[in-house]
Amino acid sequence: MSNDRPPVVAVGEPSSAGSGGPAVASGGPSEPPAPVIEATRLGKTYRDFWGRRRIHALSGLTLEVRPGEIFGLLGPNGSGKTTSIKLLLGLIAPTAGVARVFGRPPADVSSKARIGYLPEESYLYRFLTGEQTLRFFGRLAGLSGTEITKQTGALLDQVGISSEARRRKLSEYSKGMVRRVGIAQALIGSPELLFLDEPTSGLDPLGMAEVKELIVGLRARGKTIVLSSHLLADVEDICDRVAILHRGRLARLGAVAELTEAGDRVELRVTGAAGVDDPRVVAAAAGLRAAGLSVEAVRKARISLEAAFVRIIREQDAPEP
Amino acid sequence: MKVLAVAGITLREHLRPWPLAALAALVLAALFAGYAAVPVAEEAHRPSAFLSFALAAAPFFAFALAVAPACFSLPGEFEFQQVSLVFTRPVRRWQYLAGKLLGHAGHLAALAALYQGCLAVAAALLFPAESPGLLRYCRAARVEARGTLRQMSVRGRAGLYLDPPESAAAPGAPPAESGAPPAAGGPLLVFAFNGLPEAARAAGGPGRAVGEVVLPALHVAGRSLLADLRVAVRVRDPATPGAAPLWENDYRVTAGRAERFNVAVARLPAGGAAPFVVELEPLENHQRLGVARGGVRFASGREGYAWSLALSGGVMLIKMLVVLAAAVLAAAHFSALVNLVVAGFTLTVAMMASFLRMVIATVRADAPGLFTSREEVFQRFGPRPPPSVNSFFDRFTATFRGFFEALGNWFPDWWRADPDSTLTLGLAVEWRQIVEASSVYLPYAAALAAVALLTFPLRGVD
Repeated sequence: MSNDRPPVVAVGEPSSAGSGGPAVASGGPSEPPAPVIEATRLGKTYRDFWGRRRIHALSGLTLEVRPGEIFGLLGPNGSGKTTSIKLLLGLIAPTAGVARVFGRPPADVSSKARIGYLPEESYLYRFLTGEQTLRFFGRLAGLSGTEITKQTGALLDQVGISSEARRRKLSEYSKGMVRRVGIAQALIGSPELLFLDEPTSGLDPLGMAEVKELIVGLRARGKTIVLSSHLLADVEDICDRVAILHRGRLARLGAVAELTEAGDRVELRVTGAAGVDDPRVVAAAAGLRAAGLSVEAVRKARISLEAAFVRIIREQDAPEP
Repeated sequence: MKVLAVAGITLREHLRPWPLAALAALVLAALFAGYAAVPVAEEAHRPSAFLSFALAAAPFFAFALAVAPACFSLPGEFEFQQVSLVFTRPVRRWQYLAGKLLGHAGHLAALAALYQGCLAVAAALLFPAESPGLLRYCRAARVEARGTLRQMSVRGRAGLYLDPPESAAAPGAPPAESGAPPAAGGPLLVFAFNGLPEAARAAGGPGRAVGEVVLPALHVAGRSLLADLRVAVRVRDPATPGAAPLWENDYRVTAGRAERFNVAVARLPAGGAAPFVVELEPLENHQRLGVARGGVRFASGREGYAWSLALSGGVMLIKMLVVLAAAVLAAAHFSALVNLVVAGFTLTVAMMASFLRMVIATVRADAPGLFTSREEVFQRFGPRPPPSVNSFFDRFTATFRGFFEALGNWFPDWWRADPDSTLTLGLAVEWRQIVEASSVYLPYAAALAAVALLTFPLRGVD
């Protein structure tokens, strides 16, 4: 499998994919905003009934998630992603380290009012209709009746559940429709921080594209999103930074752009060419070293996030020299 | 709000209209079939025997249909992870557990109402609108018999009699009950037999029964398990109705297999026949299972049945709530099977405790639960003063006890308005029993809730 992307021919404005979202703190003159999530040497060891250590699910996780960014949490199965999310949601208590969400412990109820969660599986009540599901979670979020009614209609419209469908029970929904309702329930209460675990799971390509647009739109509205997904192309498209976990440890943390750099290789972009077979391009390529066309951009070549991910995991698995 | 949201969803999960309607139809069919099948010695006793049987079956119905599903509730939510989703919202542990318990309690209440409602429908269709004639004493609270009796002799029959002993010719008769003969007139004989007046007539006396008391009895496998009843007998001179009785006494009537108990009163004439008035008044032993509710149940036909149903439903609900709490709360982190075992064990213990209380009361014939007058009953179950505070423990529990005392005192105000009514007496006693059961069971449920909060599986949750 090639780690290189095909040569890119400019098609308009420069792509911003993977280059960081608008609210990413990249070290400006002003004071950077306080992180939404802070984890310091966070660890979780599951014990058996007799208190004996059974599984080190997570060790020494230290990371920050900044406001307004889309943060990807990646890793192979069993790498500690779900444990990390449960720790940050306050569903389980850490056995080591400290986590803070909005500056407070994750179990703190006041901070939970600002959080939405879409689990990997749709843990929704199948005997409820789509509308009842949102009303229930709206009540748990502490919304007023009027606000629940308003948000329920708007969110179901937003995720594409029709008026007729929203009055049917979830047991009668397709997997994709349940997923859409799950996304809507995560959004009710207008949370500032969203944990989305495999948000595009079960969706058709169109649905996947819609969800990706929705996530990008949420970032544009200032929401912070923690995204866990195995669809690395999606993560690469929309995430600002990612953390790669492996065997319960943080294998790599950084901006997508950093992780996908292709070593010492350089990528050249030109404008005005009809295509890669354009004779001028061919000629330019042939005579570029001597003299040539106006060069628009020269940048490091990139590999896909998937390739970077595989490389990082293999490095971790490689025996120590 | 959040508690109600969790309770609402729990209730919605378990209460579906169509299964509920089907269940109601099934219960009704079973009740009608049971009415025909219940074994009774006499047809007139069928309603009471059926009611006893149906009420005894109510906890099993509730256990099977409300408590058992509750055992699967929390383990199910953990298995399918809905609980994780709930706790990502600003919900506290106690709110979730209280909501679950409230929802299951609502389910239990709905099923209890369904069962009792079906029973009420069956009672309305099957039971007589009026009390059977032989139960009129309980309904009227007092009955009078007027007449003139001559000397009556009874031989070879066991019975109760009054001094002078020489007037009772029965050899081997039991010792005399307490009571004094009237100062004036001839000595008085009071006989209480199974089978009078036929036996009395057969023995050669012209006496007649002036009253008949039927003991409510629970039949199990053809055997009568109850009961115990007190009957007040008063003899008055009809010429001076407002004066103190010439003679009065109370008798405890205990039934083994017998259900019918006759009381005959005869004055031995001092030189001739004398007119008299006899009053009979049943004094229920309200601490004996069956008899207590029998007092209400026999009070006034359908009305009595209705009250009996409502109140016994209340007691059943409270006791089953504890079983429910055991299932939902204390064992929240175990499997459904373990929960079921815990709930079943709690139910068994609760039922064994009730049974043990009944046995102890039966063995201890002079237990404080035996009442000889309405005043005694009133003192036992009527309004009580605030609890006294004598020790640190008293101070600790005074508020708690005071609350339940105040709650228990609420009903007797109605009772005071109609103190001669057996119905209101019975209702007051039942109410007191509900409150007393609550004062014992609710702290137990609270303790279970505390255990549940401390052992809740999601340790990170507030």
